[in-house]
Amino acid sequence: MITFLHAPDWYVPFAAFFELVLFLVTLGIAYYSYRIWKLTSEANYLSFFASFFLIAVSFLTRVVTNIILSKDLVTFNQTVREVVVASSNLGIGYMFRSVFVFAALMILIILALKITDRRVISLLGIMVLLASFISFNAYVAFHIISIVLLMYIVAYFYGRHTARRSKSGLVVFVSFLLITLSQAFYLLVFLSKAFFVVGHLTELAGYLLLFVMLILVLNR
Amino acid sequence: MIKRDKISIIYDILHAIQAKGGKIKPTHLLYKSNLSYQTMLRYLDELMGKGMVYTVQEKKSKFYCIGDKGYQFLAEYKRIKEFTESFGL
Repeated sequence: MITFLHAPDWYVPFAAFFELVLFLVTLGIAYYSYRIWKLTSEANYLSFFASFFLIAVSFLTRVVTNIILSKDLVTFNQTVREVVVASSNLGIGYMFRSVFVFAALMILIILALKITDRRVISLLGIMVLLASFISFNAYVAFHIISIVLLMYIVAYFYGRHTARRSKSGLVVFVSFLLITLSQAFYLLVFLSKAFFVVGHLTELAGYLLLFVMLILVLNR
Repeated sequence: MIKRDKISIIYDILHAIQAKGGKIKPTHLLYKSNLSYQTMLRYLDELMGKGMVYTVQEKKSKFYCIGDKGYQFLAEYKRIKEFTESFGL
């Protein structure tokens, strides 16, 4: 697939497993936010739930697309495999993943920057989607746009951490920093496939850190 | 003086009602919640809409009572606050 074909062959089963873990972790965060929303009816929690639910769905999309494409590719030779890599970058799985992730990150930015003007929100959404789908290389565009969006989120959490100096605030800041770094590592995959592994593990560490924070909160 | 956030104000209102045995007079709540009358009414309106608080009329007095969702909120408050602060919600 789209992401797995950038990965070294030996890492493919691990990647599949980790993506499933990432799906469950993000779904867990989404679920707790949903529970708070049910209790408080505050729109912020619903938005946060929507954001993490979309991220969870994006991981599920990755898992499903990877499984389907991996099965198909077993019978292909290397040349065909490369053609499929190129074409899969424009594939439907990637498109859905992009839509889910960008929508999720946009919701987080709207929450962080407290954007309320619907015109600004629609403009942001249109620009992100256009940049993603009109670009020549969907893989590169996806990760560059993700980095840009995530940098705003990281800056917000850094600001909160320096203002409040709480442990959980630091954990959230580091988590999103790791997730941002992972996107940068994914971009270096054209230099070496090893960067895919580094990016994937960094992304996993980022989301696991968020999950650990959630567990700590629940145990209070 | 640190400005209270919305979650803390809701907690203070519900906690004040709970501390009075789950039923409190508006004047007492006004004193305990440390809010202006208008702000308190706005919050109570919202809490009633969410099913956390309801009113009862006893003789000539009106009382605010804490509902099931209100008790649930109090039980979850610390977690909700920590979650809210961590993610800047």
